[in-house]
Amino acid sequence: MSVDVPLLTTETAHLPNKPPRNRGRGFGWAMTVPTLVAMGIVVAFPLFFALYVSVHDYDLTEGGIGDFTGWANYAKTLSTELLQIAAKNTAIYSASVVVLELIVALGLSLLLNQPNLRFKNIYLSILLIPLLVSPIAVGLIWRLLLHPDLGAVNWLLTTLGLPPQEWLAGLHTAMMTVIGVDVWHETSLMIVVILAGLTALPRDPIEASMVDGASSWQTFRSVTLPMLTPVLLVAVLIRLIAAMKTYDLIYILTRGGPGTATETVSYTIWKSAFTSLEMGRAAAASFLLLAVILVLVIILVRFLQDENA
Amino acid sequence: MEPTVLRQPANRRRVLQASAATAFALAMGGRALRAMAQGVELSREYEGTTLNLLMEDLLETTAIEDMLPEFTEATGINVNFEKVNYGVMHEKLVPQLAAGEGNGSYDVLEVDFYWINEFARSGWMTKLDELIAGSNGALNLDNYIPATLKIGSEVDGSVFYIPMYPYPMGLIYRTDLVDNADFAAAYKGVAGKDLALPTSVEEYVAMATAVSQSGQDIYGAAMQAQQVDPIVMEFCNFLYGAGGDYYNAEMTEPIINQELGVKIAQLYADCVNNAAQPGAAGADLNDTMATYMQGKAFSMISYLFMLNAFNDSEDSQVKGMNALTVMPGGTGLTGLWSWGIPVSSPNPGAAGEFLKWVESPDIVMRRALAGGVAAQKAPYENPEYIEKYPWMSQALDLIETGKGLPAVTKQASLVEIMGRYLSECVSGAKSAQEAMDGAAAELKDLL
Repeated sequence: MSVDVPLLTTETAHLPNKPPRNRGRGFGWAMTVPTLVAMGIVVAFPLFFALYVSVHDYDLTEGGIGDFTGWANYAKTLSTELLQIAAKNTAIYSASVVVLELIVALGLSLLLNQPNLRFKNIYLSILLIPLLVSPIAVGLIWRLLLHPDLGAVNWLLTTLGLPPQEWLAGLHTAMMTVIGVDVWHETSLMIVVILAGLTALPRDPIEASMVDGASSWQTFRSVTLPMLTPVLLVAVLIRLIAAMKTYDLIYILTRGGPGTATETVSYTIWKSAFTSLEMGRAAAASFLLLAVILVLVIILVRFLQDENA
Repeated sequence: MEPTVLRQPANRRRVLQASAATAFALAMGGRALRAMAQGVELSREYEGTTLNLLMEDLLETTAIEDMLPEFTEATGINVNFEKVNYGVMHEKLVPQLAAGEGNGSYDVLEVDFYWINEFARSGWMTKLDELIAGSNGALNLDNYIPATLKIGSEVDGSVFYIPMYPYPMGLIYRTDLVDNADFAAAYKGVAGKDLALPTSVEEYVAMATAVSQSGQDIYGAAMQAQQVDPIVMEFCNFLYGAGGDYYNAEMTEPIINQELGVKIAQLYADCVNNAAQPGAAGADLNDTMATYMQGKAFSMISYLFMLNAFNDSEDSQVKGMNALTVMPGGTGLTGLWSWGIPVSSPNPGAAGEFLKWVESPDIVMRRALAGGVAAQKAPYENPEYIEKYPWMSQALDLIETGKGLPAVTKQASLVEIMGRYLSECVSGAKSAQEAMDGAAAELKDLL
């Protein structure tokens, strides 16, 4: 392997005799500080303010930020039955959508990655349409389609001789329906990530395995999948974080109902903040959610590092 | 926090405006800085001020918007309406209201009836007693239907709001089916008695169930049992119609889990599950409206303004076939929009002038004739109004007999709690007793 070594040119030769490392460090700081300041304002300040609020009694109807309460907001949040139900629902929802979207997106990406596939761009464009629609619009569209009495989905079922369903109104169907709508909406994102990964894979090992007589399945399982694993982990990471924060789809489709069947942590936090106006408890619940997401991210990143190693 | 009395902050802009107004007066040869508009004396002291109002996108809002040039001509005050969907109003308002005195963006608010206590007791709204007393009769609470004052004007003995637009609920039903002999006969075959308007909640549920079971391809009731707001608004009619309430009269204990509350919760769940359209447990007002307008339901406990949509809309397949009556049992829910001036208003003086103008008898009458629902009594005594909108005579009954929500500070939380537990009852996740016990435990924390 050859290494290109930069040559000392006449332009650099007459520069002051200053250690290059220090000069580079100063330039680096000059470039970084504005970004750090901006990040501090838009990320760190709200985060620390929320942390401050979470350990104080702060109910908007009672004026400004009240007394320091320590971990009381956290303890009260954790002991609330509604949040426990919401945490369970969020876990079911997040795991379901990530797994289903991964399977569907991987399958579609493999199909789209076929070298001889015609009209590939047309298929890709169609598959990407849901990604371009806002979650609120997706929710409204699906509410209409799933209307038990007037919706197209039940019309289709009854036309086929099947019984109509109470998609969003049933205690046992509401969560599955919301998961289905999320899969319809968000699989596109996974396709983009996975297809990019597949396209970037080196062709040599795949072709070599085929020359050696491996079947398509063996090639996929033993060559493509191991090489693609880091990309899949990134895709899972992105979707898992987003799924755990899902609020908009729940708000439009079910408002957490029926009962608490589709109540998620983010929706509960929104209600604490904007219905009950209990900012302290909402901030505490937000930090608990953040902590869980951070743990999952750390686990996945470690896994990713192991894969890369 | 002590609510702030209406006053004019002495800031630089105000001083400049006052100086400009004084100069204008001198230039006009000492002509008084007051103008008469719609029979109300208005001040030109705030000429050049721009008022920002957050409004729900209603017919009433559009009617007022069309008249705004008259207000600007009389006072020199410009008015901007920011019209938003109801769903985002509360979360948009709260940060503005909490901004502190004079620091908000909105000068006048449209406040829904279940935010009135929360906003007033949080010290976010201006007391209007002085404005009313100094309005030379332009703002006269005696002109209003008493129920509207109780629902959306007074908080803890002080006036914080001026009633603007009531939206009472009642029983809407199909008159063509009531008069249809085949329909009546099929109903009698199931119910064992003649079809007649119910006089109690129990009778209504029995009637709606019998209609659904009469094999006529029509649902007895179009219902909206989606949590949070739709189910609670509908349930209130069942509860109030049966003489029940959420708390005792002294507001010291929830009574929703007592015998009557549990019975009504069960009746409501039965009605959703046995008499309403499929999926009613997840339906909101739009879903229910679609079901009824397509002629698929016999009745609907709903808002007065829905009658207008059913009878007049080109999209309605039941056009002109509907009537409205008070909730069986005699009492239903009356919702109400009220005007209020937030403490955070940068222009409270000009905001007061706006309230005097918009609630003046002439403007109120014109708003009503444009299709609005009046909170004042006078339009209902105007033959032209009743002739143009015949159902409005019935509307007066609904408003007069209607009730709002209990006077807890966090009424929005009450709606959230009840919505969640009622939905659990309807979906079968909890029995009526379990659901109402759970609701009562959380409602107690709101006292």
